[in-house]
Amino acid sequence: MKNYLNILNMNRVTSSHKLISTITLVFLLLSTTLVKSESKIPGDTHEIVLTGLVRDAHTKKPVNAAQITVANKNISAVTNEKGEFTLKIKSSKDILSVSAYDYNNVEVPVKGRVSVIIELYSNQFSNYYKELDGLTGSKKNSSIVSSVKSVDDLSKTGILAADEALQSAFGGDVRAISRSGVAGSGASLFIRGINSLNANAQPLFVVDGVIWNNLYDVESIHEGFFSNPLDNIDSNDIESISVVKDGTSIYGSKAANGVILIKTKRGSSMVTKIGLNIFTGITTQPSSVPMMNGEQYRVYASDLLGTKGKVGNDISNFEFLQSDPSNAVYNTYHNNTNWNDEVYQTGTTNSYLINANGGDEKALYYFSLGLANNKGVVKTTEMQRINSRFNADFKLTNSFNLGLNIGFSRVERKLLDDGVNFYSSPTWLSTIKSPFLSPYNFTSSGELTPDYARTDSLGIGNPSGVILTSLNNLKKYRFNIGVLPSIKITPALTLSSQFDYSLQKTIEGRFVPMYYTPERLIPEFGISRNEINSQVMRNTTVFDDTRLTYEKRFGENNHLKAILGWRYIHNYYESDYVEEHNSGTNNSTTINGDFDYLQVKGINNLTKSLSNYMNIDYDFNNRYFLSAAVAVDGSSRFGNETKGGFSLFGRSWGVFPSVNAGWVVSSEKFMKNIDFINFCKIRTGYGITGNDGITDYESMAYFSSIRFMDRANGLVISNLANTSVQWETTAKANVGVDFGLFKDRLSLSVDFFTSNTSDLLVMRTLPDISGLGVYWENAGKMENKGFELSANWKVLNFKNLKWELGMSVGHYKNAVTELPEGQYTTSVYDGEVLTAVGQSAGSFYGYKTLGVFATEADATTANLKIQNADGTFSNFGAGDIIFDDKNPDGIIDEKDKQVIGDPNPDYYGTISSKISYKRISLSTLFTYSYGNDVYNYTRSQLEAGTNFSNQTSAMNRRWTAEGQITDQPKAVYGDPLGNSRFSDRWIEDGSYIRLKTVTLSYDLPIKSNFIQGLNFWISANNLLTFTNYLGVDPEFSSNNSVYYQGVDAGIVPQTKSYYVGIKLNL
Amino acid sequence: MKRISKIMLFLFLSASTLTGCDDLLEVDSNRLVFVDDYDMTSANDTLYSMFGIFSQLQKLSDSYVLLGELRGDLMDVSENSGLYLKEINDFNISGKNPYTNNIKDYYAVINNCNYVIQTIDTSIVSGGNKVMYKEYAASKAIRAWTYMQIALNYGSATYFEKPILNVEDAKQVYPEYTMEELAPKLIEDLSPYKDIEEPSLGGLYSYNTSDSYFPIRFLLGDLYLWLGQYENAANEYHDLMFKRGYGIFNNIYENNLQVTNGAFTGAYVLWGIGLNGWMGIFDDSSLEDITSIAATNDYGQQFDLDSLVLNNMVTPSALAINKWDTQKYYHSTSLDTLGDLRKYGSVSNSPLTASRFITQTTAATKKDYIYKYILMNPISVDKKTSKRIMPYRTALLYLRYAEAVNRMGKPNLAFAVIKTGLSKLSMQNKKVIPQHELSDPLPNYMDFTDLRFDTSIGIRMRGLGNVDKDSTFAIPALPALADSILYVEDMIQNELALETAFEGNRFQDLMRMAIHRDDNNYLAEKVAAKHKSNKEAIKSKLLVRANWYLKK
Repeated sequence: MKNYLNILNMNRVTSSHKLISTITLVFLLLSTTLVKSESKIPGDTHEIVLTGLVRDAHTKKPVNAAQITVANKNISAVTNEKGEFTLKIKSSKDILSVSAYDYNNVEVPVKGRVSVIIELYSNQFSNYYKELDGLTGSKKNSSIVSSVKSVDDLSKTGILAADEALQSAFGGDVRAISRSGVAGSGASLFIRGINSLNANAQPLFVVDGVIWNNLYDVESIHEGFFSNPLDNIDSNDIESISVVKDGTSIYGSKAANGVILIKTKRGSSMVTKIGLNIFTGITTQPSSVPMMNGEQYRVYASDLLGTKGKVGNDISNFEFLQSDPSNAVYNTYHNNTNWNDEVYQTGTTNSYLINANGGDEKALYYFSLGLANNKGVVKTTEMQRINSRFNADFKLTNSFNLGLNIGFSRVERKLLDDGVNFYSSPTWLSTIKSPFLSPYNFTSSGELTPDYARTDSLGIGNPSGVILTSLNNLKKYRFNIGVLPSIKITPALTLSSQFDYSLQKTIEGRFVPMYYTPERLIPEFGISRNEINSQVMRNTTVFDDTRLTYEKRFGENNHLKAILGWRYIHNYYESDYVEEHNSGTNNSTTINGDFDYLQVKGINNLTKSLSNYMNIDYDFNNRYFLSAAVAVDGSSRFGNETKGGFSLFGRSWGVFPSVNAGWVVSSEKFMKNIDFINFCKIRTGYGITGNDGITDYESMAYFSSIRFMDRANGLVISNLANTSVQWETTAKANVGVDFGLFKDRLSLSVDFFTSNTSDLLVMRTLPDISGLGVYWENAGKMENKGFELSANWKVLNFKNLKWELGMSVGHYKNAVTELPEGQYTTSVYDGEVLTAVGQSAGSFYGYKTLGVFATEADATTANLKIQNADGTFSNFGAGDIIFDDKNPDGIIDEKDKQVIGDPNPDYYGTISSKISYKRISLSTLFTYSYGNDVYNYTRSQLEAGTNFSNQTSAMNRRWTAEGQITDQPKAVYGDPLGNSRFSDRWIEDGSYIRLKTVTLSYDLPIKSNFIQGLNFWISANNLLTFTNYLGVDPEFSSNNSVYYQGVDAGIVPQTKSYYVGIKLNL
Repeated sequence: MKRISKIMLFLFLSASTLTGCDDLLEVDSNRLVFVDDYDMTSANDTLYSMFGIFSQLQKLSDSYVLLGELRGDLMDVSENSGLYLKEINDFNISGKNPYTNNIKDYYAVINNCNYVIQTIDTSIVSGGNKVMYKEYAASKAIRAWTYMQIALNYGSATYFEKPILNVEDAKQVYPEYTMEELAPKLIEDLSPYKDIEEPSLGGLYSYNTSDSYFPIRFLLGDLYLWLGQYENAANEYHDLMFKRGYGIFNNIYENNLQVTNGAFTGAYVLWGIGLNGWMGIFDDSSLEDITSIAATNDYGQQFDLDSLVLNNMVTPSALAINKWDTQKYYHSTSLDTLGDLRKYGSVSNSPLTASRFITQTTAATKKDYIYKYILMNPISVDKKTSKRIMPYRTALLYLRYAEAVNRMGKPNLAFAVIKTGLSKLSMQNKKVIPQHELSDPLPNYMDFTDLRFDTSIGIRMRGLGNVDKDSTFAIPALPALADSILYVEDMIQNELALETAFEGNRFQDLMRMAIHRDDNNYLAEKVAAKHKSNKEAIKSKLLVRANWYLKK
């Protein structure tokens, strides 16, 4: 053993690494010898005759033709019409698998009994004993030792992208935060807390065995939009999605954030089946927060003008105060426009998918063609998707199989800028635009015209005009072809490979019109009247995963599956961006190179990674399970002198071992008399995984091009070789128990986990002499501790009426435990996020407030002031916010900042209910999040009282007169004292519970040769939300970055939606 | 055991796959140039590097000028200045100050120079010339100037000659040198290259890249001057004048008051922007420009001087204005008046608008602003073209020469630079240069026999008329030579103010003179004179030499 370690020069490997590696290797070698010795022991020769009865759990009526097999042994029986069977088994420790038509299968340990009664539940209930798709293929849930959850039916929902299903399906197992109300925009995903700060914190997507580049940090040029890679997959093409939370070391340096396995459908039987899924639905337009009406706004705006001081030639600002109806401008400023209605509409969604599968002895195939379109809730926004998939399996000879996966999708979108953007976002403009203005222009004599009004005299654009003339689009193509040859070398040994090539291309164009948007001063350029941008992004991946699989049963009770594999990924990402301004007219909407302020930038990143991995699964008698994996990973991103791992061939390699073990306690004899526990499995595991989401080329010194005097190109040193930069290392420990209680009436699953991330990438300051600013160092530490609990209770089980309740809870506590350069803050939408030892990642860091000074005397007594940019001081007065002078020096400055909120929830999860009556079933799902704080950035703009944006009606109680006691400060143009600065005024409790979906489904009782099944369903989403949050929607994620969690950037919210669908099987 | 050996075979297989993976993990880029791929074997390669260095150099331009002037006596702050400028003015600088916390920008220049110096292949010959030798020498010169700036501003500089290309090297400890320790190193480094020509990379818009280099002889002169090796300094300055023909010549950059019937008629002759008016010095076709640092506001670069001026954030000090106003303009014995015409190229109060902050204007206030910066960075010109500062020009070269020869015990020779000009005639005129300052043959540094210097005039004549004929403008009779030297050095100091105000060299000049006099008070008094309410505090602060330097 020592020799082996020395061969690999593992002296740089940490002791825990060494320990686990050693355990893994010892286990690896021992298991084979164990197997050997075990197989030599002569079997228990005496046979036991077991009799049993299989019956319905409710009616207690016998189940005819139920199949009983002894797991992994060639023994089986079928029940007679009385539900009885007789089986000759060889061991009293055997486990029976029972399956019957219309029923969920179960596993029953014999536990030394000679007669058993087995009760079956209808397959309308959820089933614990199903097969799950795990990291090394599909497996019975009862024998999986890592923490895996899976979902296999995504039909009967109105979703367009797979990740939108994760929240409903996994609840407490994955913290999935829907990004926005834009169809297919997906969700930000966090599994078991937050395992990275500056690298990727999103899980690894593995689709049909191929690692997808999740493009987690790729920004769209369309503000507020995220181009979600998973919207390339039609949810009806998905066979199953599994979430693997630990024991993921087989994916080595890519698995620290957990793994999401997506498996698409394949041909399963030779019978040709045709399926048709159609749904259509509507999405209601979002409500807005209560805003001031026209007259309230007029008062507010004139208040503000009074504080603006010298107005100079801005006299047109006063036009809105004109109260004489005979004046020509009167009409312009006396309307009552509901800007919400100008911008929003009812959205519609239609989705069609037809698929066929079947084949013969030589080949099985699955083919699908899908079409989806969506009209967004913001006028003119839309999405269209066409997708096709062809998965085939050819049996070329007895020992040679070939798989083929081809997928193509095209997504086209029309978009508009979204979120808080005072310039080009119609949704935001509609919020801040004064209701007394009209979308239409008035002539100089006060006559209404059909033309849209230009930017108003208060500097706010016209959302209607922006919608009319913006031209923002996105076209996305994804194509992949995969070839999967597999050769059986011996009955136990298989060599298989998975090769995949994929191309994803996204073309984005953005045109921001002139006239309807305000003119802006672009620093260092000049005045911009409008803007055109274009971005082309290309990602090509060559993927290969070749493995040798050795699977064999030794004797009757030992089962071994060993995999040795090599995985190679060649990923090339390219993006080119062009920006220009002042196209001169709203008809010139495309880049042509001749407009003002041309700017170009781009990225060409080539990443290569290689993984050598090994996985061994061993089980004894279906009772004791052991699984060990180790991956040895190299990447072009790693430096060649890393602290962790070992070095070989001039490169550094990370070693990622894991060991998981499981024990089905309920199969033990001593459990014979404990009746209420019919199944109990204890799982535990410890493993090390990594995160290779570091910047490309970080380990190399390079020059980049810089413009000199606009005309010449120069090269300057822009990065120093960082030879020690490496993966982040996350060590995860897990203990879990799965229970089946009261004859499977209640199933329960609890997991406790801790994960410790070390080598956390943190930004460090370079010494001045380098001439450069910062570099990444693997020096921080962070931990997550938590639990996950899920329960499923079959409440009612009558012949026709069945009711099942489910709930899940997730909890984690995240804390940064080590930072080499001390705490730092990250600015996020005018706010600040603190990263400090002992604090959770993403903690909001700002000022605490203590109300508003009611009187000048109060303010004078408090004597608080700020230092201005020119070094002078200004005092807070009556009507100003009372900031907490934490560092009591009388000056409100950054020393007074403190942690004012934590976006991480205490608990999150789902509550579900499914009631079936005959062929009708009603599923209800609540989602919730408790204890998370939200930075309401939108409100910080709408109650700032500093500019001519319309304000929420809460600003009607702003301080206006000496002595007034209120919670809103006075409105002062430009906010010289910073009353609207980032403070706890904008931090709110974001807890909510939401009726996420209600689905009513009806199976038509048609059984003909032609139609195999017909199902109608209707579904409603987001019907009810209970929350104290003041914003429109408490659930949003503006960015995948950890620092941006819990920041409400005002992106289109999720709204109520209603769908009708039909599912037809031929 | 068979299985174990099988598994060992797997391990072996996996190891052998690793063997080939060095290539498997090799990456390149279309956008970045990796150090291993950047070997400078053609002139084109060095071109990119030179432009790269220039682009880094321009980041220093604001700091060079503001630290040199705002800490001196000629530039002042106003109520518009903002905290950071006030901090510099008051020698009370916080760590956040963007003009002083940028020491890494200096090292960025140095490190990029280091790379060129180490990598450039000086052996390549084309057309009989070592083509890349010029870039090699030019990089050394830029590096030396930058090192001087660090040492002069921060008290000492971390010295390293190899490029820092990885994080480990960046964390190494390198020696730290004060100006006195650094200068010999730099002299040794530069001396072999003082006759190498400067590269010629052509023009960019109206900006001539030939102006971007620091002549090695100027640098050597400055270094010797700091070290007190005055003869070496005088020789280097002289040789630069001689070899490049840099002179203060009659009818170039001269300003005169028009005289009609024995009276000033108020009209300026040879006035206006052009080669002949003194303001032409700051024009982009200036003949007097020796070294400019080009700057731009484009592509994320920042250059603020012109905007600071237009927003009245830095202003000429009252002391500076007074200096010009109290000089005697001499036409003849019967006709003189007060006022130096160079004031009108240095400060102005005619309305202008700012280029970067479009909405602001100081037009209404009619305040004096520093016109030199506007001359160097004309508002009317497309902003993509050059903005610049001018650290080295001919007048500075002559005044530095004067300082050196004065310290050598030749105050009259030094005084001639100001009053009469350096030419064959001056050297022969015993009234200008008395016998005791002459020798036979004349030393190299006094050789102005070349015809080109026949039209030399005194620097002062370009703004104050016929001072060469003003017998009252003379070195007074003083008891000892040492007194005369100090007197003339003071005159040089005064002339530097009148001629090169706001150009960035003021504080360094005062520092050097004070150090040579070993009299901190010399600097403290001069700078404190500008201050009003806190004059004494500033003075006592500056009596401590450590306070002349910025904290790193």
